[in-house]
Amino acid sequence: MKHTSTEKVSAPFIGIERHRIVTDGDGVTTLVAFAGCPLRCKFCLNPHSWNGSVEPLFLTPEELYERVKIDQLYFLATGGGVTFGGGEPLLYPEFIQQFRKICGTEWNISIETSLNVPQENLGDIISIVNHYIVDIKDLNPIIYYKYTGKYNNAVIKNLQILKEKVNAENIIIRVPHIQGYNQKDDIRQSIENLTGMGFIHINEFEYIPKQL
Amino acid sequence: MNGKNICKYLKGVRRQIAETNGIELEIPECTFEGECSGTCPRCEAEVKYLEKKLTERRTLAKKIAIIGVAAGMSMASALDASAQSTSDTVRNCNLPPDDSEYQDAISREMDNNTTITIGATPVKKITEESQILMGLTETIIIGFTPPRLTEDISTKVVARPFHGTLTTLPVENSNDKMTATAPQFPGGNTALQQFLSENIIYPEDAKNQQIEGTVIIQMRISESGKVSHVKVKTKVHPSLDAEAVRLVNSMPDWEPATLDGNCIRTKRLIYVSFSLNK
Repeated sequence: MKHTSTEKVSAPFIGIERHRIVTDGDGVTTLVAFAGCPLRCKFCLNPHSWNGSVEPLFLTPEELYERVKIDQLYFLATGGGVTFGGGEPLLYPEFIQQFRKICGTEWNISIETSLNVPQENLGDIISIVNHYIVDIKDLNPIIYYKYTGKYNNAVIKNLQILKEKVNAENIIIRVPHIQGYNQKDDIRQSIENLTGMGFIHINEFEYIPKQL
Repeated sequence: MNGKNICKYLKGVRRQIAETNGIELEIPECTFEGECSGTCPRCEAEVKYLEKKLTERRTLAKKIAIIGVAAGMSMASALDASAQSTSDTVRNCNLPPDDSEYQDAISREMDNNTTITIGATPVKKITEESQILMGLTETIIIGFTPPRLTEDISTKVVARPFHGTLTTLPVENSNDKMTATAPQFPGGNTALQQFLSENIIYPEDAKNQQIEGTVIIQMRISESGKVSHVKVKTKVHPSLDAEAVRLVNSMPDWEPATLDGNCIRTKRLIYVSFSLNK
């Protein structure tokens, strides 16, 4: 985040994972995870991105590029690139904009997001991101609130923006079965609504709880 | 996907790049039998070698092909290709004959356990602890795997089926936009650069040997702004490294980073440049 107009943009990161193969899209990708998230999902994959248990490292876009460019050859050869996740990457649109300017247009940039961010954040990066992976939790606002602690107004608005501005082929919507929060009917309804909105890649999956 | 399979896949990509561009590169079967992240200094050195050869071809106005040459390559085909390659120990493999930098890098990797630099990029020997971090030594990223329960949900929340048009809850979110602010040196980045240049003491031995370079330091900034855990991430020369550490340790307290309105402990990099031509 910028401090003053003369200060460089930087953002907090909790980790960088290289050599993910066909996990976040095509080719070889590097997953870059931001710290900070607006949600407090009960079964969060990466709670250390927001609960303070891991101290993040602040990097500028240039510093991040220096770290990830080691795999440029793989990115170019396989159609891969960088996937921003976290945490919530769309809290840092300015960072992503600047990173795109540095890395050029040949790398694929993907975003793993909840879309629960201000509309202008999505608007700022919509023309520079190649692929979106959106975990919508559940479209039912009551279920969403109970699971995440937040409302999903922004998610619904951003889904509409995404559908208008981005080719549906480049969007994957993930609809989880969340034990104790949503039932089959809820998931079916979410999928129906998403299909009605025009999304074509909808990935239903299961949050599998650890055996107690 | 385990590390061995990642390694084989990446070897397949390197092989494809080399073949497509007429670059001689023999990739022996890896016989390492421990836990593997999917890469190692040898694999990294092969990448650097390929990049160097591609640059040479480009300089000679020869056509090169990188983009998409391995697009769509499946894991199965990569494993097949690996099974057909000649098997040899890593130590005794045939190296590209004319590239002394490549051979030196491999030799150093074999014989010692230190960070090696190939070109301008530090390539750390991959240890179990640092395998995927390459600089972020205290964090682990979890891939997209199913989460585990962190609390008892024996009392289930039963959600009723939701039908009809979408509606939203009546109360809008308050202005609770997540913010993160980076830690800041008192006075900002300009003041930081001024502090470094005014307080740096160029070591005599390095000056006499005309040694220059940029030492990259990683430091922790506590919730109260105190600087600690100063360590060298990219070395240049022992005297320069030591001076960079001294300099960063002498810094005043910073404004701490914040996340969601709370001060947090963070790490930051500092670049300490030593130049004799000022």
